[in-house]
Amino acid sequence: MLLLVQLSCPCWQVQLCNLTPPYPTLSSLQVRRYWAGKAPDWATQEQQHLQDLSLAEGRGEPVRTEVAAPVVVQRKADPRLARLAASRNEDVEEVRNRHREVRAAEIVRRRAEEEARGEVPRPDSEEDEDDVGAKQDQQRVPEEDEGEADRRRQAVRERLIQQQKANEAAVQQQQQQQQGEDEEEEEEEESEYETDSEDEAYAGRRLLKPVFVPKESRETIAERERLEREEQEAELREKQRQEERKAETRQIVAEHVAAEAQAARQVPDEVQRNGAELEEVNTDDEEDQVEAFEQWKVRELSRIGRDREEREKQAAAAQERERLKHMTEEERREWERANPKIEKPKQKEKWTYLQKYWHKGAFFQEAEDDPRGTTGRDAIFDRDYSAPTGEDKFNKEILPKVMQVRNFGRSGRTKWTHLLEEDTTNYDDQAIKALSEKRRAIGAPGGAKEEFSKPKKFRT
Amino acid sequence: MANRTDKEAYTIHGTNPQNLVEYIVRNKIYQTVYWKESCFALTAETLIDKAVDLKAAGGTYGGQDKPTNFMCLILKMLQIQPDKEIIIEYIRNEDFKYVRLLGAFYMRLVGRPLEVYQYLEPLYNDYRKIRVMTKEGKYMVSHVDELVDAMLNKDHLFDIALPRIPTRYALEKTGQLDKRVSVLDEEFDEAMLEQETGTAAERAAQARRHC
Repeated sequence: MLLLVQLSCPCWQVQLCNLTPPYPTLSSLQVRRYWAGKAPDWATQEQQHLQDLSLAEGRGEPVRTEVAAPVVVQRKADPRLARLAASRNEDVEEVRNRHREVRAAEIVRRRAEEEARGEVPRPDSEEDEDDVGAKQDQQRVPEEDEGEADRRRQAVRERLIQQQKANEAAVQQQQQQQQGEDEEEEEEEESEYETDSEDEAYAGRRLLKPVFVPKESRETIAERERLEREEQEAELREKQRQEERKAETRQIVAEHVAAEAQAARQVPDEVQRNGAELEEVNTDDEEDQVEAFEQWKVRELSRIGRDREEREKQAAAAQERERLKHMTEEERREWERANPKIEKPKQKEKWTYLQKYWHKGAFFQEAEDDPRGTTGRDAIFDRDYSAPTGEDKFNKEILPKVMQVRNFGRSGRTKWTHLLEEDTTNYDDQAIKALSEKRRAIGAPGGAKEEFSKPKKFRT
Repeated sequence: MANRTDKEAYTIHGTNPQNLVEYIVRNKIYQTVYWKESCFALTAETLIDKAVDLKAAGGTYGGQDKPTNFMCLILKMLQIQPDKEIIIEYIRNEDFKYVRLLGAFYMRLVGRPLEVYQYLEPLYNDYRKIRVMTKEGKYMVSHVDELVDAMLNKDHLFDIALPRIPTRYALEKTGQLDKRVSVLDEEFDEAMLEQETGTAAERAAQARRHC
């Protein structure tokens, strides 16, 4: 076996590692130089043979390979083979006699007989004289009368029926022998039904004697006149409809034009929001000077009003501050009573069990009161951030104790339970009761509840 | 090389005047075709020609925040730093409204608070229509006095952060400014009086009805 292995030696050639004896000796592990075109030392005769073959193929010579044993492929039983086998067993004489047989079509009946009876040959019968007979017949049909042709056809049909009856009778006899009575009855009934309908059809086909119908009582003419009248009426109706439609379209167009005119006068919402193209925006100042002036007046007055209000507000606030600065203690207390600092009691919102706390983010919470602000406050900041969301909506109390933890799955997630389950205090004891009451009065940890009044500074 | 501020330019608000336009918007302006073609080697006089051809004012628009030509010219003015007299001439001219707006905006960015109020408030009386480019790239109608009002009372305009100036009231208190005198002051007072009398009459009528 020959394997290609890249040796760990720092050479850049791939050496054949010869695993068959003789094993590589120390000398063979030495680095050999490579010459282009020269077969290396390790190339054996086998390799040489293979190389010769590949070269021969390249040159186009026939490559001689070892002859292998033929593989027998089993095919399906060929009918030809079977026939061959059968013919081998046959007698020569029998074969010759068979050859002498004339394989020609059987003549069921002769055309001459049919013509004598005055009938047309069946189309599906294969006779040698078919083509000739057909041509003859086609020549004859225009000569004969239509009545005779009809009679002939009728006779043919009757014969057909008789033949079918005979066939069915034979079939029925066979089936009577094989099957039960119920099926026979059905078949008989069917065949009877079929033959009845056919009989009636053919009975109706018998021609009536032609009788002259005067023009007035002829249906065809009356029908034609009726059709003409209907056409005329339809035309009239069409004309009327078209006129109506014209009137309608005129009305619609008028409405459309009126609506457009109105829309053009008003600035549509989209244009108000996004603006229009350069050409659409008219900045001519000569038009409507009066209107422009009026609009400006409105704007200017609103600006003046705004300025005045702001000035007054600021002046009032400054004055108030001045007054407070110079008040005496009693006045201050009175003032405080008059304007108590109403701090809304922060109702602690009820959160679900193990609800996660999401911080709103410290940035982008602009105050609305910024008078110079161009960007307002987004409505998203007014959302209720204490509402449960995502995983908070699931009831975590039905989970096993181990999983009742935020971020379940992270390492080190044991919930600190304040060792309540390991607590063996007997809470019925009097001393402990007194202690817990005292603690509750203080509020733990001390300082959590603000129950003293802080000195309030006055802003100057 | 072409985007450096003039060597002899003063620092504005403690920094390179071009820094008034923030970094990203400034780079966007440098990369516009208008800047590269038309704003190269402009002087105060040639800038007027470009300003006269302006059709609209506006900040950046479109999904890519493309700056308008107005913004390019503002940056050019910050770069070359024309003299105060030139800017005052821009503001005083009556023929071209966009030139006026350029001057006013530049003054707002660069000027001292007193000067800002002093030169921009007369523009309150200019009610000519102008086009403003919206964020979507379409145009809206506005007026000169509306823009001047925004310059004096807001902190952002045309995607540029306006430097802080004290409120008018603060300046009035310190005595540096007089109370604002408007053309329509008297009309305003009359209107207020009418309102007051109107409300007083209503109250009187109500009282009579109750009695």
